[in-house]
Amino acid sequence: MSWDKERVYKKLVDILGDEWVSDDEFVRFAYSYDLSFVEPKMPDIVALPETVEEIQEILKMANEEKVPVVPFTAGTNIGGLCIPEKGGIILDLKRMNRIIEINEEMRYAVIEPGVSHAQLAEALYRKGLQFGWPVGPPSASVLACAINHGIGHLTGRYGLNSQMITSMEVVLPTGELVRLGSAGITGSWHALYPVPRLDGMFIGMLGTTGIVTKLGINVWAIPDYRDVLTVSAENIEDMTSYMIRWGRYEAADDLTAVSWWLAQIPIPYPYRPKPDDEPEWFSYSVISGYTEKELEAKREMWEMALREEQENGSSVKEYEYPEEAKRARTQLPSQIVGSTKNYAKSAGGGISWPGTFTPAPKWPEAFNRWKEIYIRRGLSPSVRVTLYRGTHYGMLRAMTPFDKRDPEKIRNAKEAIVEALQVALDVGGIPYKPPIEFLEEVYKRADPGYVELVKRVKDMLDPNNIMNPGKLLVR
Amino acid sequence: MGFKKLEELKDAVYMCTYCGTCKVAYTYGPPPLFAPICPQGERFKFDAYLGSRSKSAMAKAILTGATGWTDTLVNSLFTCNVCGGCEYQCQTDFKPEILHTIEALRYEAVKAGRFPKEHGRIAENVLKYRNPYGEDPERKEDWADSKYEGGELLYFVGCTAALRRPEIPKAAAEVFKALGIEFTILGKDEVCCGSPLIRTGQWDAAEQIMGETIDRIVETGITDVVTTCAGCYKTLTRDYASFDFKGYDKLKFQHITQYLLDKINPSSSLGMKVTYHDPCHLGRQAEVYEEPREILRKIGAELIEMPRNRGNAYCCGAGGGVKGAFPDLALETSKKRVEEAESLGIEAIVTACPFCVRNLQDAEPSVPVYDIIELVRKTL
Repeated sequence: MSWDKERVYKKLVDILGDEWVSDDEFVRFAYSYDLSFVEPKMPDIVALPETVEEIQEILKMANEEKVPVVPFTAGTNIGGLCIPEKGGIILDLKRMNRIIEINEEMRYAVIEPGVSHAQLAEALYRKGLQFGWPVGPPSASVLACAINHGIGHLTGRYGLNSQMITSMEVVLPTGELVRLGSAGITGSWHALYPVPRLDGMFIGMLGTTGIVTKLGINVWAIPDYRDVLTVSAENIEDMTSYMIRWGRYEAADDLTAVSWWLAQIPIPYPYRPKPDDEPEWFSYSVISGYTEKELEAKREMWEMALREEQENGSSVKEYEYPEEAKRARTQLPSQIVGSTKNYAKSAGGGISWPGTFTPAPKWPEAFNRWKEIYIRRGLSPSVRVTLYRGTHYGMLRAMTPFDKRDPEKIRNAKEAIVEALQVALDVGGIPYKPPIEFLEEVYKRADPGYVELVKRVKDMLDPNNIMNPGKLLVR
Repeated sequence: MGFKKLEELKDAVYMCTYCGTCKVAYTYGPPPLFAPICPQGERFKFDAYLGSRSKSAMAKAILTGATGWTDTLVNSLFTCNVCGGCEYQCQTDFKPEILHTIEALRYEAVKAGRFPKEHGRIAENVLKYRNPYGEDPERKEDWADSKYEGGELLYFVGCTAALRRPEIPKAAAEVFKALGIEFTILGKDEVCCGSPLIRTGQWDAAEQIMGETIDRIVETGITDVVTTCAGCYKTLTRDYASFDFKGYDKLKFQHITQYLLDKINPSSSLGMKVTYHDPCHLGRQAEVYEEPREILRKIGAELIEMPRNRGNAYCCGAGGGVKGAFPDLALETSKKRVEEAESLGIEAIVTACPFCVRNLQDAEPSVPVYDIIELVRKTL
């Protein structure tokens, strides 16, 4: 540590008051780990600001002192993003939890970092609105999910949650305050267009280029009619073909398939074989409409796609999900699907993933290789694939529970996940919310020009490399 | 048998994924419910205080030696109301052992000498006077206008009702009399159930009196035991069940709301707009949610629910030894609960626990706070 902890602590207390600053060893321990395999590391100080001005003061001070600062909201990501690689200050933003605006006509909301999915869901429901709820814990931060390319459900045909962003306010690492998108021009928070997309410097950057203090996001009307269409397939090839054919209509709000292992509650840990008489893949499509006719039209399109697949000899067929499982696809946010109940129950507390965006036509190759890796390592190939914006994005990931009591089992899971990521990269996939173990693999293959530009952006915005240093790996 | 020690709970602790679902109350609905659920988390905000996730971290820290009994760890451990709000949200295999883990951590803290001195005084009082208030045991009969003996029902009054909220046992006795139910009380011989000791981790002291508590009951020869105290009810039905006290298995414990539900036949209608506060020990921790509500309907109360009700009820702030050791925090929490109730435009707050009555009254609400038995009495 090259900075003076006592002096920094005192300066933080001067800014926030001693109630909101702690260097207690247990406080630091509680912020040292998350669900993932990422090795725990302690921050030196934890501080809880409440205002944008306090964050500005803290970042100016941190620049003077050259002390690392890690933004933190709920600590529920499974990529170790808030585990401080180089110690320093964790800025826990949970006190900044205001929903500043919900614009019903323009359908956007403006929120602070501490607003949870549960909080936003309650507020939006009163106005008949919804967001792209992820299957994360209801206590997770909406803002952190969106700026880290988190994925949502029920709005999948509109894209990732990062594509829902309409404007943002950021405190730069050097303490200046900027607003981007329409909010930066006129003060209205409705759109990122048609202005230069400077917001990209803060999205997917893992909290290494500034602290987003307000975010505008699109919201949608809750449809009056919904249905969940479910099928099974004997193999990933047939399931992928079906999803691409059906996905081209961009009619499903959520078009997802899960392997047999992910469909089990909990995921079998350690691995156990699938019974021969059960399908290997299951898929659900959530469709919605504002009239019965609209819903019926979508059903017809789905039946057409299904029939065409079957005429080509596919094993895809209608498969009745249990009612509870169907409800779980639409009743979001959810404690049950969002709490890792069906991911890690009984496994021993650990959960990580190779979370990637992989071109859908490459899913079969990736899954078959993942299956070999996972089974070899005694882990279930509990894989999920989802299409976003029709067939434009293909999400591919394997929820990987492991036993945190045993270092060998943590290592085994980590190696399986990294090996799986290498496969995804081989076929054109890229990871999201990546821990540094993933970025090591990414940078081995990335275009040097891309890596250099990331460095330049980082250096330009954060000349003293105080923001979540080490997490982006380039600095 | 007996209390589970921290080491025995290690496997359960490691079932916590640290997902944070425990941090807030949430149900899908519709409409969705979102609300704070952790009183100490609301006050201190740091993740080291918030929800059961903080307590699994604490257990891991102590079990692995990652930290010692730091000031914040001890403060987080003992400012917890052990209310179970976090437990109700949890969906992992840690869920059934969350409260046991908190109490087991407290037991370890007590052994390490890191616990509030106010809790130590409670233990001294219980061991010396058989009640946590240090009152002469004779005073446990002060509320009673006669020596209640006979019948086939034992009314286990509990220390708080007998010594601090005498209006509750008085009302219960009048209700029994109105219904023609003969009952017995133990009076000065009634021994604390041990709840204040168990919740605060003072297990060695608790184990010194628990057998005696059961012996006094068994000696009456009565097997049907009813109590107006949510804490006594939870303790006698849950904690004692993991021991092997002689005669315990013959005893049938009921909270008074369970006992009276099919017995009362009100002669008048209350006609009062009320809300019901679920005591943590009776609701989440003993799953008695509907009987009190049924009774309120039966006596003609108009029941208006608070947004946080049943499993999502917000603690009154008293439990877990917080009222004794951190009265300001207990009051801060009760004020939040009272605000929630008052926002409904009700005429009274009703609960079914003398400790909740006391702490909610301390918040000086604009409407009266009643134990449910007091309202039942008004209609008979």
